[in-house]
Amino acid sequence: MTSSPEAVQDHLPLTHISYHVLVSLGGGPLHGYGILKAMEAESGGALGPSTGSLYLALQRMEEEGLIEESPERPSEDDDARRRYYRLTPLGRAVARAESARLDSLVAVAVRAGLGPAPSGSEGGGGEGS
Amino acid sequence: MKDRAPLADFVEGLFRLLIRLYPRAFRRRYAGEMLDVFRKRRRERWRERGPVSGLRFDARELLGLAWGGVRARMRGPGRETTERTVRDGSSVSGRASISAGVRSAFQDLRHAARTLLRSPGFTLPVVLVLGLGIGANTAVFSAVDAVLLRALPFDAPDELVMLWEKNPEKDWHGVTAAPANVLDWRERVEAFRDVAGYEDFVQGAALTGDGDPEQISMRSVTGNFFSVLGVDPLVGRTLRWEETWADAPRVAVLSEWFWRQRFGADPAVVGRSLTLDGRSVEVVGVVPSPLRVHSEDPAVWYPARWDRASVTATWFRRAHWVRPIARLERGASLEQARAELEAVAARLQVEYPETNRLMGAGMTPLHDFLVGDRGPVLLLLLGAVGTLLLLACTNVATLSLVRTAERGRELAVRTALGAARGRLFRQVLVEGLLLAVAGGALGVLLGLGGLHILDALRPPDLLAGRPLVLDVRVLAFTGAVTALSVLLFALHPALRAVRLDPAGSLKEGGPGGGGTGRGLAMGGALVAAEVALAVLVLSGAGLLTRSFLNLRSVDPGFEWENRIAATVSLPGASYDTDEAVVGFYDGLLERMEGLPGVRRAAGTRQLPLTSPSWSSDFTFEGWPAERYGVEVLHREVTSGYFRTLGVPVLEGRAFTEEDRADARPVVVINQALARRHFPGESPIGRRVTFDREATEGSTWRTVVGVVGSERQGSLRQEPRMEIFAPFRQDPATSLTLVLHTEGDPRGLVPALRREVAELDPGLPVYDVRTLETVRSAALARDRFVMAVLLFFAAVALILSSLGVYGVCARVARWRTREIGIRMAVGAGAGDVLRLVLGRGGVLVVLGVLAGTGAAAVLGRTVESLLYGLEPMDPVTLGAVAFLLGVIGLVASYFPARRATRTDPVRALRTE
Repeated sequence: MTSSPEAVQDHLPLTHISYHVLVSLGGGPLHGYGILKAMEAESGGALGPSTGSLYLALQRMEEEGLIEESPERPSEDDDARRRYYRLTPLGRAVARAESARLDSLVAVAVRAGLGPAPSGSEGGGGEGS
Repeated sequence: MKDRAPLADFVEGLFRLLIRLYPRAFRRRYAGEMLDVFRKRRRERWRERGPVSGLRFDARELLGLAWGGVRARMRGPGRETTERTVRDGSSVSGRASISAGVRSAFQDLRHAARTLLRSPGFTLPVVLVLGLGIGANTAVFSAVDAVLLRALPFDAPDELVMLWEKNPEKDWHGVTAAPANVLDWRERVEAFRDVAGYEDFVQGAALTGDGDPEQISMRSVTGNFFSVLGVDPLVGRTLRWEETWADAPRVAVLSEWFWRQRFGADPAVVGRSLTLDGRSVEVVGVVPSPLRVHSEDPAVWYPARWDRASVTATWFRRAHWVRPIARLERGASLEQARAELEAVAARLQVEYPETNRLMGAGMTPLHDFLVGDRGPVLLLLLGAVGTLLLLACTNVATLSLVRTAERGRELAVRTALGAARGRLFRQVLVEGLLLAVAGGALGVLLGLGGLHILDALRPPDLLAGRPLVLDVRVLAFTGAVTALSVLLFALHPALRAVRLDPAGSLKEGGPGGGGTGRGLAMGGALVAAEVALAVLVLSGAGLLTRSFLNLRSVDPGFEWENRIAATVSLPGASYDTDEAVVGFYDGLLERMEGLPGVRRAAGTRQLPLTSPSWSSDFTFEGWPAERYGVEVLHREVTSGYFRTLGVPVLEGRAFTEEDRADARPVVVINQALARRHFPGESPIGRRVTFDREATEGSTWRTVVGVVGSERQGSLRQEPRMEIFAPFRQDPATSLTLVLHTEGDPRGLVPALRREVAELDPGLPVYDVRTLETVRSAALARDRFVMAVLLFFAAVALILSSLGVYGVCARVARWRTREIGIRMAVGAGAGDVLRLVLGRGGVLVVLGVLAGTGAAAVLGRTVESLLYGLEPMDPVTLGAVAFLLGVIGLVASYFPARRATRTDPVRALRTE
């Protein structure tokens, strides 16, 4: 599967879940539960998507060739039923492209004065100390 | 934490069920993994965040799963399947049109699902209402069907009748028959092909010599019992008529359940001999269970083994303990058989005046007899459930009418724009169907849950011996009824759209309008009906709740806290003298009183609040010859009985150690007897005999005390007259021990068993129960009915307030313009509030009036279930009316308040 720029652009923008799944697989293959844990960690402990939504997204992303089942698995996992997923080259490219798209969006927002707040300067958080 | 396992099972079960919503290919690939992930997350959530957060997680997961399923279906087949279709579908051209049809149907479905999901304010309540209606209905209907409607497991059950005796003098009706009379009926009534009988009480027997000793239940029957019922054996044979008599070899037939439980369904059990109460009995066959004659099936069916010589004896016609079942001759009518039976009974009155004076006979179809007394309860439940179904349908109708407002206009627009009418029609239908299916699915879930609850709550005598399973036919029926109501009301807007001139319909109302005066009136009528139905269900629940509370506060005449009972029976073969029996029980009671934590111990032949078995006539010394009493209960108790159960001695004394077999026979009578026959005088010192007329051979017993009356049969029944005799003067081989303990008596059970085993290791200890349990069992049926009705009442309340809310919200919206104008010309918020509230108020009041009227009329049907109050109980009816009035007003208040916030300018611009 070649990742021509057109093929990549077809997938943008990504849904919230898809993007998170791709990002969590950036560090290497994970199984479903691992993806959820990684997503929860990324979002600072907020509850991830429901199991149903996650697998719906996984199925679609597999069909679209963004992720695939990984033949390699951590040696300590002895549960053969557990399926591991990893990024395809296309998935990797799409994740990059989406990050770039979001990045440029953020740049626009910063120029409009709506950038992320520097920590501590807003909301009166410093009064206590 | 430990209680959470059933919940986990239930939630996981739901999860598995909901996964079925996904396409098969999806499921095959992911289902196992999803369940795995869900389990893990769930466990983590519950452990780390506690039950509140855990439950929220469960709900979120299940909803997410269901929603995902819908989305997966809408997304259409996955890539793999599409490819496959293309590959193997290419050569067949005919398939193209079919697949186009399927695709179009699928599109309709997808469109309908989207439309419905876009208005959750309509979809959610409708699905919920449908689910509740279908679920509650199916659960209760399944239970009722299992008992009332399903045919008996007998061959040609319509030919079977239960025979009984009646006697106006003793106030007997439908009582057990004397065996000699039964034998005569069998001989003389031509319309009976055969008559069989079973003994009214289940006996206990000790099964020994084959593994652990076990106390088993045993019912005696005549040898033709199974052939009359038309029950075939599973293995071996059933009993034979000759085996009715004591001169036949000892044989027995096992019940299927006992055969499975004790013998692992081994067919080789036939021909084996068992030791029952020390006697060897040959097993000749196994019969299927449940047979459900009377309460539970016994472990062993045993021949009556009557003595041929006793057939002509007087006692065989005086004592009543047989339940006869007759099979009618083919073609004989019930009336013909009844007339013949009555004629034979009349002849027997003449032939045996001593025993059969005024003794009549009657018959009832077996089915009616067996379910007879449970009828009112089950019919009440059925009535409540039917009302609920009606309420659910009405509610769906109301909600659909509210929707008509929006849909009518939308459909009119689309017709005007040239949409094919057939297509529109189809779309509305598909929407209705989808709603019905969703509601049905929820209904199945709720129904299963409901059955679980019913199963847990059911009292032992109701629905006994039958596993409750969700009845598919019932589900189909309920589903069909509700689906029909959904479709009917879904079609309503479609029909209007098609029939009416679109232009007219478009002109009719502003945004959010489109309702007509007629539709509104109909909505109003529906709401009033809903409120009325809710009043009906609530009144029923209220009456039964008050009745239950009355019953619970009835003093049973004995103290039940910290008391436990257990029965010990002795095999007659090894305890063959009165001395041996009395010696054993004396020793046992002495050991019991010595146990730490036991205050007192005593024995009785029977506990109060369990159906009393023995009664007889009696007469007191000095009464004129024609004066006698009937139907006095008698019971043998040990000397400590009254103290142990806290029954007060009102006059004279209780039994003492001195009341032995060789002492003068004494009795203690209860207050009910003293009041009835000795008002204003003391019965102490009077002598009584258990005969109608004293003869030479009569045993006179002297009354030495009067004790408080216990309720013997049930809490509802006033105490009956009772005479107690000391156990030592009238011993028997079975005695129920009662221990009064310091604290929770259940801890003493092991010690109790140990003491019995030390005295005689072959004796089973059975029927162990606290008196608290005995009392609570006496309340079980009332508690069950009350709980179910309260549940219905809650559902009815929710449904009707939803209805009121819906219609008032609609009134408020329909009149947006009017309200705007009024406010523009100076009407205040109060005026608007009154306008909308007034509308709701009138409907609620109308509904409450109609419902209260109906409740007052229909209350008569539950009269037999009520204790201590009238069906027209003003407190209950008043409280229900008030409650519904308040709830109705609250439900209409919110839309009314919203209407007061109408911005006049915007409202006027809506044209």
